Amino acid sequence: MELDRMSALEIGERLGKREISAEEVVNYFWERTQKLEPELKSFLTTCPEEATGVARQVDELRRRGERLPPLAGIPVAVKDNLSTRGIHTTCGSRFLENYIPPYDAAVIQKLKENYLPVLGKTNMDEFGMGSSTENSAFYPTTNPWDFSKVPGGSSGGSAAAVAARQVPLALGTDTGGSVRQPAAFCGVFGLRPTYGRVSRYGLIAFASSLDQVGPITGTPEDGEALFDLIAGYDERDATSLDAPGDIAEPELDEQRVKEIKVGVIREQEGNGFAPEVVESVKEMASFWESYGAAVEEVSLPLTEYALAAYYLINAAEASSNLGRYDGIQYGYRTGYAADLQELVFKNREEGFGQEVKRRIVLGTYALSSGYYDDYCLKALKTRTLILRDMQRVLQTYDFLLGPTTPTPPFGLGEKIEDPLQMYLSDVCTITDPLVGNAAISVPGGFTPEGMPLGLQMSAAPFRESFLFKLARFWQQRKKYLTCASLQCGEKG
Amino acid sequence: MEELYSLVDHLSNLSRIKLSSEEKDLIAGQLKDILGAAQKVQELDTGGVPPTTHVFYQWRTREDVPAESLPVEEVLRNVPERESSLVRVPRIKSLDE
Repeated sequence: MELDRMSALEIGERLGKREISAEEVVNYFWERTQKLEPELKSFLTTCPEEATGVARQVDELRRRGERLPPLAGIPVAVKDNLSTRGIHTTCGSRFLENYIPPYDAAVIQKLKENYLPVLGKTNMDEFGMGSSTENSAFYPTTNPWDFSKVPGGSSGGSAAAVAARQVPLALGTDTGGSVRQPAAFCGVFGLRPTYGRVSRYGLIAFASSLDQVGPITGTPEDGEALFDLIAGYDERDATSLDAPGDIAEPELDEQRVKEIKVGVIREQEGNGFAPEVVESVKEMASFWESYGAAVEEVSLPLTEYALAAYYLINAAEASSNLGRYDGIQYGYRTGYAADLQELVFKNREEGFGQEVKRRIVLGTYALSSGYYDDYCLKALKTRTLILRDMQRVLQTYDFLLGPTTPTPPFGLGEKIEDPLQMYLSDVCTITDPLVGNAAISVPGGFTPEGMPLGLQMSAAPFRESFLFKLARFWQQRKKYLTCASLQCGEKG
Repeated sequence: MEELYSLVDHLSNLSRIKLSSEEKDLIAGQLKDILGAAQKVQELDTGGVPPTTHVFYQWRTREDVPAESLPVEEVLRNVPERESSLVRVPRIKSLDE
């Protein structure tokens, strides 16, 4: 059985009918992971024994005739900034190279409650700071569609693992695009949920007012199933939303599409945007139009200010969050230090990579006396203006459409020396986190060279279900291949 | 540039990170570009606009209910240097100061 050609839900169905055992499924994906890992390096840690243990439990429960959740027994990969009890959680950093959390993140608990075997922890830019996974302290991950390209980041390991079907499901985290951008670069689906819908308990903090956990999958149906499983109120996260639950969305049919108003973001084309990217957005705009949706151009004039505000806010929050890493109770410890102060200075010097130091320094600057008003406070006020602008626009439009990234996947090493260029590659994905929107990246076709392009649909808070229905309507008709051709056949 | 270098020096102290002089040079150069781009926000008129630190204000506090804690041994497993259940660190102030 070619399990890598099936969606997670399809595998789940076969598991339910006992046509295949969960142990066989885990073995299949574990073997595939081992085979592809030397080229891809999607994982930082693998835990096949723990995964097999969960699979055996699933098989035993099924033998006893128990009804299990739809994704029970389906292997999942999780980003290495999600705390896993007893399993290394490095955040892609030397600082946490030997750190083994004594507790599980809320989302990991949910995976366990639903009997999903965690096959491993995926590679990432250190503490989530980066857009290519090249800032991992250990090694870069490659793009399964072309090993000379980056998989995006910071959840590059999760996206690559799904695109190569080392696993059918993965969790990433998104601060300024870290789920959606790698999903786009790897040609798969990635959702950034509404801020507060998924508990951040046990997610190692980067920028707390922006961080969210989201699913990365090969189909929108799998994405929705995984999202439903991880979402929900958690009293251990002070920003968790005690929401009324999903805004119930009926399936999107051709009749309902006619009632939808789509806003195509004007600022996301032109300078810095690759022609094939602009073309793919036009194609999607015509697609919705051809089904009778009202498609109009919409302006978000604050887009370029949003990028500046985003980088100031994220650096400020990061410098504060990363203040906890002194290497005393856990984490990196240097060889010799004459006194306590030197110990902390040296631990941080040796334990953190370049990008992390850069953001801490920038954030410290933005927060420091004399500069706070001009930088941090100004950025937070800009955020208010962006929020107002977005609320105004979303009164008219059901969702906004644009590219997920301004360019197709870039080459390994291409932008790593120039942090500002790397930051600019996040321009399409930073607005939604600033305003709390839900946003999804869906496959939008391929470049002539065969690299995937991603398209983004953003909607008002709590409209995840709507976004998944849109993604499904699109993918059912486009049928883009979401499994990298290098490993598994022809492109769609 | 010299001004930026001493700024980075100051910031490295504030953020408790030792930086080599090469690193300070590198970060000073990059900071110049990054701050240049970040200056963009100065162009906006934000008079009378309140800051947004969080998008949704649903702050809640919960009852302070005693619950089971993690076992001490498990929590201390990650301590780099320890003596029984204590964390070992160098002296607070070195003798030669």
